[in-house]
Amino acid sequence: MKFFRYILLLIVLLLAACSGGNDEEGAEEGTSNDSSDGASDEVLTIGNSNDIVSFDIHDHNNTSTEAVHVNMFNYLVKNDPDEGFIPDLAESWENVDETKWEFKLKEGVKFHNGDELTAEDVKFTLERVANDSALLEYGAYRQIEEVEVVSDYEFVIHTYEPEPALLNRVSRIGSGILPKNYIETEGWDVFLENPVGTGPYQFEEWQKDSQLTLTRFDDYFGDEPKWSQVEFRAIPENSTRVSELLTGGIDLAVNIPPDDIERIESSEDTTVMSAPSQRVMLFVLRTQGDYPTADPKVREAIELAIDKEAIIESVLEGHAVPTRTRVTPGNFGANEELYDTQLYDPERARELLEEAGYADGVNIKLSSPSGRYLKDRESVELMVAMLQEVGINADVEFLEWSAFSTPYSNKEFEDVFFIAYGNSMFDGSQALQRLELEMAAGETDYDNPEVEELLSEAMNNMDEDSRLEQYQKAQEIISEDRPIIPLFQVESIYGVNDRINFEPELSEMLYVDDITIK
Amino acid sequence: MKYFFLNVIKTVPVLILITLIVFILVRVTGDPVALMISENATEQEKAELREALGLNDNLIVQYINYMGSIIQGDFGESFRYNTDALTLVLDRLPASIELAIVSMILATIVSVPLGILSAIKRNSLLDLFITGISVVGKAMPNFWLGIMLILVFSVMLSLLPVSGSGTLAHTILPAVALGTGIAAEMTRLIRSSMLEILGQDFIRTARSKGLFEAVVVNVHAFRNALIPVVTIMALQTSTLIGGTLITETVFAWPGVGQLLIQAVNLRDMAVVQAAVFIIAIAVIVSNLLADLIYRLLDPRIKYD
Amino acid sequence: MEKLLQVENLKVRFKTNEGYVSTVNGVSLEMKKGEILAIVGESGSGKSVTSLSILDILPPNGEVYDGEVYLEDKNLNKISKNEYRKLRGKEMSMIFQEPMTALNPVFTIGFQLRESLQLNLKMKKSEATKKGIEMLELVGIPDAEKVMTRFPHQLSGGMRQRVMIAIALSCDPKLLIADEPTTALDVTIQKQILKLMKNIREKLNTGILIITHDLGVVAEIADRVAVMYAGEIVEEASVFELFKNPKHPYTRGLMASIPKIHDVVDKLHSIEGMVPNPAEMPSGCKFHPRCPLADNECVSNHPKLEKISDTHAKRCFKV
Repeated sequence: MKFFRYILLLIVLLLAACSGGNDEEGAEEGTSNDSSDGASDEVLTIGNSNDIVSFDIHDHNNTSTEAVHVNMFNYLVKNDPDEGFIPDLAESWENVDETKWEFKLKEGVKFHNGDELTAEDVKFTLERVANDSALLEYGAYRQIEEVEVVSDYEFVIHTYEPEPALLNRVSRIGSGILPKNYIETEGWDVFLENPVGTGPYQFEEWQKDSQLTLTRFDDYFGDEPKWSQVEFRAIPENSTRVSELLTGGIDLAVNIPPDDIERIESSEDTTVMSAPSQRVMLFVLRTQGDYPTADPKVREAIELAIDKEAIIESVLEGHAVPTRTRVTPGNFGANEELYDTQLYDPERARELLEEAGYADGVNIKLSSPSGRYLKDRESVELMVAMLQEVGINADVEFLEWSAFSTPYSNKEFEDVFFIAYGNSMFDGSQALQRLELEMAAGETDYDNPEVEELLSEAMNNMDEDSRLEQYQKAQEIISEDRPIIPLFQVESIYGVNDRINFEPELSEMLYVDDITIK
Repeated sequence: MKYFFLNVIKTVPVLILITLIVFILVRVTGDPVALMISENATEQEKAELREALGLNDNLIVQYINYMGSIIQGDFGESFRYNTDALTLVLDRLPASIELAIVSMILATIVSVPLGILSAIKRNSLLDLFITGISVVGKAMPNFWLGIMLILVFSVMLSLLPVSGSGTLAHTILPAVALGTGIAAEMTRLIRSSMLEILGQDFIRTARSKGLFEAVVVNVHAFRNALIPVVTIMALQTSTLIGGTLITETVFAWPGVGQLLIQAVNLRDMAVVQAAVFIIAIAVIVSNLLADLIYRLLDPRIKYD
Repeated sequence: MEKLLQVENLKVRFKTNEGYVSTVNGVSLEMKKGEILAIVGESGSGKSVTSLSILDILPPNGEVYDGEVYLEDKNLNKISKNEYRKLRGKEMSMIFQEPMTALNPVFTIGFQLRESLQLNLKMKKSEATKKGIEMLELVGIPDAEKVMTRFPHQLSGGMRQRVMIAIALSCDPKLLIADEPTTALDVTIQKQILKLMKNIREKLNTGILIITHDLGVVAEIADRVAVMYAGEIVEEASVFELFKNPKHPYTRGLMASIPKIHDVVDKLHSIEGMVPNPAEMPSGCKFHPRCPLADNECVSNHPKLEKISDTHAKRCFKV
């Protein structure tokens, strides 16, 4: 009997320790005092589907992590969808010659720890990622040869080769400027636990896989930050995230599945906001070798068999745009003629197959990830049915992402595979890179000398106008050759509490200061 | 005491075997670089990354390095988080343990009276009812139950928070979701254990002494019925710690389960290895604990 | 008050899947204070059930459906469950056949002794411990103080039986029911236990109702004997009379079955046939299928228990 008394005591102690140990404030319903002068005491809570990966801005390639980081760090320039490149930390810049870009920094910009921003910080930041091949963002910065410090606020970026998209490179993931002194004195480990940037919000606390809290940085060089505190909560389960939105536990929920849109719309306090994203779903096809898809007629037939609009309506509740190109509006080089349009002609598809010698049907192998992208499986299943209608028998295999990524990486897929690509550079080069001869080898085996020439010239073409033409022409040809068949551009769907104003960004970044109280 | 240490020593070969199996599985089931790097990366970039992460070394060399560092408590760095893998796991462990313990407590509070009741009122309507809901409780998928609980208690009734951790209120729904299956099993276990005990001679002796029926059942019978039940429950707790995955995901509960599944999906080897190792230790500790409890509860074992 | 126990026409049945089955069919007994009455019979005769009924600890599917039980002058049929409980352990107690399983394995001897004393005599723990030690010494257990802290599995069968007796007697009950107390023990231990019980009767004037199938035990300890068959008493007598002059054919059969030490026989004598299944009782005299004296009267009529002297009664048409 004494035994049980001890157990009881132990249990009581445990419970006390548990509830006492975490005193997370969780001011879930924004505690507002005066909403008149820009919501100075308000707390904003955002529900993400993943936690951020880390504070090493150079060693991740996650849009959702960057969406949080942009509130803590600043780039040199920002890529604004309407105005193009606008100053962020850089006051002005000039492309002096093919491989030299001069920059002038704003003065008096403070880091969260009080240090002042100088050109040394820029050099430290950019040269790190440009030289360390173990960093995941290395591939996007290695083009930078050197950052030459001219004075405290002036520096020059030297590139190995002409980089028409240099500004794109320094206005995306990995472009946040880091505090050199802080990192060199305290070390990376300390920085990763207590990051310091120049952004409007500074690091407060990070409970991994639970919540990241940022607080207002009063010495921010730009406009006064609107919120006193921002909480980013990681809620991986979709229905839970939606429930949190509906109960007022969070103000904004990302990645809303189409099925939950009605639930959110019909609730009094919440709405759904959506906008195009950078993600394009497409088929990748083999154009050479012993595959039926090596015949361009077969590839054309595949495109014509698919009614993209129907899929968008039924599977995605209308939240996508059909496209015949990977370079969608908002990205440099976009060919608008190939956007928001589709070629759907099953009759013609059958004719083409007959011409190709497949009057009795043709068998192809189709590989697709499952559960990686929104409604990937459902979309592909519908497409397989449509292909069947015209006589294309697709033997489809669905693979979980970790099983998909290995054959993908090893270029082992057969006739067709389904995938979705983003574009963090907002530049046509990134979208079309994979179709360059070298990159395409083993995957699509795409080999069109005209396209090859256009792309390689555009890669180093510093003249914007002719570069634009080159990309547009390349897309035209590609849309006829069909080594890839772009399908549709998905929208990003958010759930929003009616007490705030929120406009989704093409980049899927979550700029907290663009969110305001109504 | 000596027995205790001997048991601990016996577990070392088990741990070594586990680390070996995990090591092999993680490496032969796919390429971590393919998972880490962006879809747009070039071959060259992949090769460089592979080299930088030491993935090109001979497997045996890798294993030796790996074992060498484990002994020093170094499981390597997480690819994803760039921090020490073991620290990551240990940071998450208290949350999983908390959830496991609260679930067990809730399950116990519910199942003990229900189990005893259904035993003493065997084959009555009440017994049938309790057995029925036990079966339902066990059959309900954790995932579904969690979502339903949120819908009812958080969204519709606004009684409890939806997800996350921090206060006792946050613990309730996930603990109920997790504890239901356990309670169902425990109820049935207690019931059958009690039935067996109640048929035994010493119960008759207790009654013949003029003891209150409540004392006969709750002291004399229950104390005996407890022995197999507690042993099984201590073992169950260990499976809970690694197995809370689904509940953790539904409730955004920052525990080891979530960490592990993400690490597996990304082939974040160091974290997988560290997490499995820790979970293995948790299982071993629970087994030892179960053994200890069994000995404490049953005097017949002590002196053998 | 001379009379200790009176049982009148007790009938007990059990609920089974096939309906009710009656195992005690009208049993009547009387005991004086300090008397040792033995009930003898084979398994299935209903003797254990009778004793469990007296204490009201029948299993859940058993019930008394007729007859009355009086303890001294108290009618036990008319008291509440709780009052009945208060009598158990205090006014009347019981010891059982299997000492190996009769004690709770997870509690100490001391705990199990104290329980009864604390509940029934409202003793404090220290008092109860002291009294417990006394009782253990009374029943002849050496090193009593140490034994108090031991667990049942650490004692032998004989010791455990003694402990049971100690527990049963600790509150000084007027009636002790002993259900086959020595059946599971060695012959030598058996003798010790029986001697102990006789001593206790001497010292404490406790009435003992002893249930047994062993006529040797009866001879050793009983004052009076009742022979049970198929849920009825078929013969009742002082022990001397029963052994000298058994009347009922069943009793005689039992006697004949005991091998005498000087007999040399090829085959042990046994009574033909088997104890009837309570669900399928014979008509008339329940013993008639196995009885050498049976005739038509026995088949159709049920004999009553008749006194043939002050100290002897029988239930038979033929003797």
